[in-house]
Amino acid sequence: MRGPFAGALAVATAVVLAFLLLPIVAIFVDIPPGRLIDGLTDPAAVDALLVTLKTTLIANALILLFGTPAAYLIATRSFRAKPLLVTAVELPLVLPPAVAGIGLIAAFGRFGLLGGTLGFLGLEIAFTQVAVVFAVMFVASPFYLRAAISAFEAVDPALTGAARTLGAGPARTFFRVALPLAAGGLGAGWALSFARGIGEFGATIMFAGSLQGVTQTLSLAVYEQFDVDFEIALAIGAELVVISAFLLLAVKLVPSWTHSSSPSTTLSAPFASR
Amino acid sequence: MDTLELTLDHALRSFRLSVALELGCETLALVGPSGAGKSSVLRAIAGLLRPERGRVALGRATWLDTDLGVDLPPERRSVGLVFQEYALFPHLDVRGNVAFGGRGRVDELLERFRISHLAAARPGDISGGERQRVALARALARDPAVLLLDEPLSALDAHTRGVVRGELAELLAELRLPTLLVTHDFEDAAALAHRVGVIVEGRILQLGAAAELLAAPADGFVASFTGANLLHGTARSGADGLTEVVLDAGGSAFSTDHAEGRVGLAVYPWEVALARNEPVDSAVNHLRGEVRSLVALGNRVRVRVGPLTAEVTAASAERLALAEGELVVASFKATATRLVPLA
Repeated sequence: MRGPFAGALAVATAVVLAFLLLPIVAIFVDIPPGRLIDGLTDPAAVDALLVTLKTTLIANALILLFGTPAAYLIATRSFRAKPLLVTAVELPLVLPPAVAGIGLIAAFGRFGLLGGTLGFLGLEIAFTQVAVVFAVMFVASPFYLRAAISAFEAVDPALTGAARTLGAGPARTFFRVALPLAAGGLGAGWALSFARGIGEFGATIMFAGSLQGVTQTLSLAVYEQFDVDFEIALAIGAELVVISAFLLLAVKLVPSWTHSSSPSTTLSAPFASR
Repeated sequence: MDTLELTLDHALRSFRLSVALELGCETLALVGPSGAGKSSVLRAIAGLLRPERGRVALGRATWLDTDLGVDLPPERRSVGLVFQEYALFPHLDVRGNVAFGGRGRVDELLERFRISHLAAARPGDISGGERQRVALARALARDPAVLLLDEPLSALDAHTRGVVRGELAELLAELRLPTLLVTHDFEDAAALAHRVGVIVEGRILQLGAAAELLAAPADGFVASFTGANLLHGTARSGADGLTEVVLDAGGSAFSTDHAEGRVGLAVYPWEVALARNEPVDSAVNHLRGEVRSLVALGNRVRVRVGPLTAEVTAASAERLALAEGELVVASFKATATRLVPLA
């Protein structure tokens, strides 16, 4: 295949690759590697990493703990309102981050829907680490839920049926058959959700603020340091690139029993706050 | 041994499944076209499908009684269900699959089904016949009181099928469990089961020994499903106390059965003889036609002549030098000609 058309294809591909990779490469080559390492040891960067690790781990643990059984239930029951329910679960995926932020404030803020009740119990959520966890869970869990629902739906009902006729109750069937068979899809969905959580910005800054050492995550720190010390901002940016690239690789390489069912291994959904 | 009793009434997509069966220590085959509701019967017995109305009981243990609100979950019904595509767990090895049903007899079962050497293999890496043996071993690991087989041979290639059918027949004879198997193949049903029920659109049209079904098919569907030629025609009383059927396809034929009006004329391929010229013999029915196709099946040849299929030995086909397009005479006796109501 030679000629003007093939040439045009090659040029378009080169433009796309250059455009997408140039900013990423620039982060690493704009300053010498030594200074990049120095930037990472700055207290603001260290604090941001610790806050991010803590909130992301808690948020993801909760996403897995509640999301997995919820996805299994939705995937294995057929009921009339199911499409509606799935749409509701997916809605935060397409919501602008600012809307997510204002929604969280309206629900859990001091003057929000549950604010009075929470305040009465002596709980304050907005502008605490709990708020960071909430914001991450709100924007990231739909990625996991959506993938988990399709992963569980892809498990052949004959296999879970076979488990039941072989004497396994519903719980044993879930842990011994459905969960291992859906593991590939769950892992892929979880990596996406994890990546989305790490990158969370808009809802967090509105609902949790950007207090260093308390609610300032890596993404927020990049934005803050951009005004203060560009090199530290670059260093944190580089750190986030490495983490994200690692997660993307994990999504691609995650093993899957259900060959065809591994849901959306491309990052197709909007990453609005990046 | 206990008797399995079941009555089911359940709406499927385009018809109602309405079945009543009772089986003791025997193998009963439900045979019918795909989508006839066969698998739903098995699923209802196993507890994987809850019928709108029904009762399933093994001896004095009631598994399901919609009137009394009894519905035991599958894990509390003593059934071994072998799924159509075997439904082996792809993430477990052969030993893990068999042990899933019960750990006590794993080694014994692996030995018995000659799959010990495959214990560490994954289901995806073994042959169809081996998979079937694993599925049977797994179903029996739970020591079930009832065995249910869903199309146990359909996932196998023609070569393996014959061998596995023989093995399965031996196994069933040995187990002496109430066994319900469903298949779309009448030959498989006849080879494996004591009694055969022909099921169409959720209803059992006829239930009896395979030989009974062949000798007296209840209607045109049963006749054609059991392998008979089915010709449509109009019956009236003829000479010598025989019934004459004027065939829609042209010509007429005689039967010793009595009938009047629209009927199906059923004659089995092995009752049809072929000759070059009209023979002088005891057969009353002679149809002259062109040979449309010849299909060799081992030592037999299936020959399509006009509207009929005849089965003759390979040697006879050679002796007559049968070839496509040639005119032959197909003969069959009035005593071998069944008249059945059209379905």
